[in-house]
Amino acid sequence: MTTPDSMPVPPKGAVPDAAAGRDPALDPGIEDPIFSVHGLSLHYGDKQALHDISIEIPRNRITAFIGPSGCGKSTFLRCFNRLNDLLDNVTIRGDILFEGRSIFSPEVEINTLRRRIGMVFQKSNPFPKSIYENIAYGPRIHGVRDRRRLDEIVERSLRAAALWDEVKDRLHDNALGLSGGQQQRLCIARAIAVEPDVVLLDEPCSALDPLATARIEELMQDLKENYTLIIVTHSMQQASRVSDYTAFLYLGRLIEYGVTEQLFIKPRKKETEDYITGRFG
Amino acid sequence: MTRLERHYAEQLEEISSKLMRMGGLVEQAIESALDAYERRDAELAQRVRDADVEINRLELEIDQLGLETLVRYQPAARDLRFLIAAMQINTDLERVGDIASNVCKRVQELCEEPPWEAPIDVPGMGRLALRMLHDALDAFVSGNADAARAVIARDEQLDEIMEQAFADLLQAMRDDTAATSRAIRHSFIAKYLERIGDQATNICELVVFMVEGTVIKHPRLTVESDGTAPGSRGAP
Ligand SMILES: Nc1ncnc2c1ncn2[C@@H]1O[C@H](COP(=O)(O)OP(=O)(O)O)[C@@H](O)[C@H]1O
Ligand SMILES: [Mg+2]
Repeated sequence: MTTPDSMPVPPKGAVPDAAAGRDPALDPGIEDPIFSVHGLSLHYGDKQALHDISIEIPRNRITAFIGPSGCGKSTFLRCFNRLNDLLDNVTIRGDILFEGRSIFSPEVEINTLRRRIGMVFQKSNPFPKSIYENIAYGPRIHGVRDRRRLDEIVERSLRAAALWDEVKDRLHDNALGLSGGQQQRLCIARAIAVEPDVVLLDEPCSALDPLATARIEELMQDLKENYTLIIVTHSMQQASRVSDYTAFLYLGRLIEYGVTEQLFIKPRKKETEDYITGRFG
Repeated sequence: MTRLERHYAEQLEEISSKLMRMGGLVEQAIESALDAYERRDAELAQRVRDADVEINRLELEIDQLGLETLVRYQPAARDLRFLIAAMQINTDLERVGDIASNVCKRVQELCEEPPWEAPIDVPGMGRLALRMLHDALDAFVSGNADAARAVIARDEQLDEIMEQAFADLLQAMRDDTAATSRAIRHSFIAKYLERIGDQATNICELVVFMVEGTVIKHPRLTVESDGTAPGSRGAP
């Protein structure tokens, strides 16, 4: 990936005042955002996938990204922990401030960034190791060696992911023996084992049945006390059930962003209305 | 459009057309009730009361359709607002049907008594109420929030006519005790007709919600997003 040095990072104090010229369809007035995205554009080669996106993500809330398949939800989500850096034909312009500081700044250590901003994918991807090892892996990488401390982290993470009661007697069994829903909760436990601030979830329920989905959604409600969650979902019902704020993306642009109830009851943009009432294209 | 999308659209269409049929029947019921009053026609009054079952049947059908649509399609945005409005208008219209029947009951009772020069213009008041209802339903069909607001503004007039009628009827009772029961029946009718204006106002508030997504009933109360009224949790 290349980050052009001409990247228009707003100088300190010059961040556009949210109150000045704010578009109510794009700015629900987030106080104390954990992320501020400024004019973010992304190209895969010469194909532009994200167009000039500016958005503020609220702390300790669930924000959902919705939109038709291919509109750039996953691409956008991967920007927050610089996962697109792993691809080599990607160009990013604009900036993302995390706790007020650019995630693209040379001082940012990518591993620290990814520890603080964890990710859960659509296909649950436990390591072919024991349940215990799946959770302990991250903390070990980040230097935790003490066995008792690791035990604590494993238990705390599994409890937080509402999985402890189901697996506490078989922590050393292979994680691949868990059901799909359990594997996905294990991945969430693994993400929070390293005590991140943010968990990004990319369609975490799309391979799960309704009951397992409900458990993950319930878990998300519990987690937002301590974490900021951003979820990409193709299910508008899921977005309206779980999220506090919803962003609608279309063709790589942010069309509308607002309080979830508001967006689903009375969207401000016709494109949003057409999409969520199923009259698209 | 996929087959499901078509079915969804048809379902919303059907709710709309059934609601309009119901509106037509309800308007006709009021009109006939006023005719029965003017002509002292107890039989016509009975026919209006008998016809109320048709209105009730439509109410059940619309309820059922609305419920099915909610369950199957979980509508959002304008479809959701339409459905919420339609289902409440359904209830409001059924109530107006009941009111027309109540007017007819009082008309039948009045037919048993000697004619009376009442100090209230029942047909005039009734036509005002009917006009409000008609314009409310028009505003719904055309999705016109301004027209709905204009109808709401007319409700006050009906309230004033009713207050005046109460005062005049009370005076009539004092002046001529033999007319007491007829005066009381007329008071009821005045109250019923005023209620029709209220129902038309409800419908118009729903039209504004449907079009603009804003709730305008009880303007002095607002609701927090958790559904409680501010201050309802014992705030100082
Ligand atoms: N690694 C990649 N290389 C090139 N193009 C990509 C890559 N990933 C996604 N895209 C393209 O970017 C667009 C947005 O994709 P994506 O972010 O996956 O959308 P969504 O998650 O909304 O379905 C699509 O046109 C997709 O084909
Ligand atoms: Mg995706």
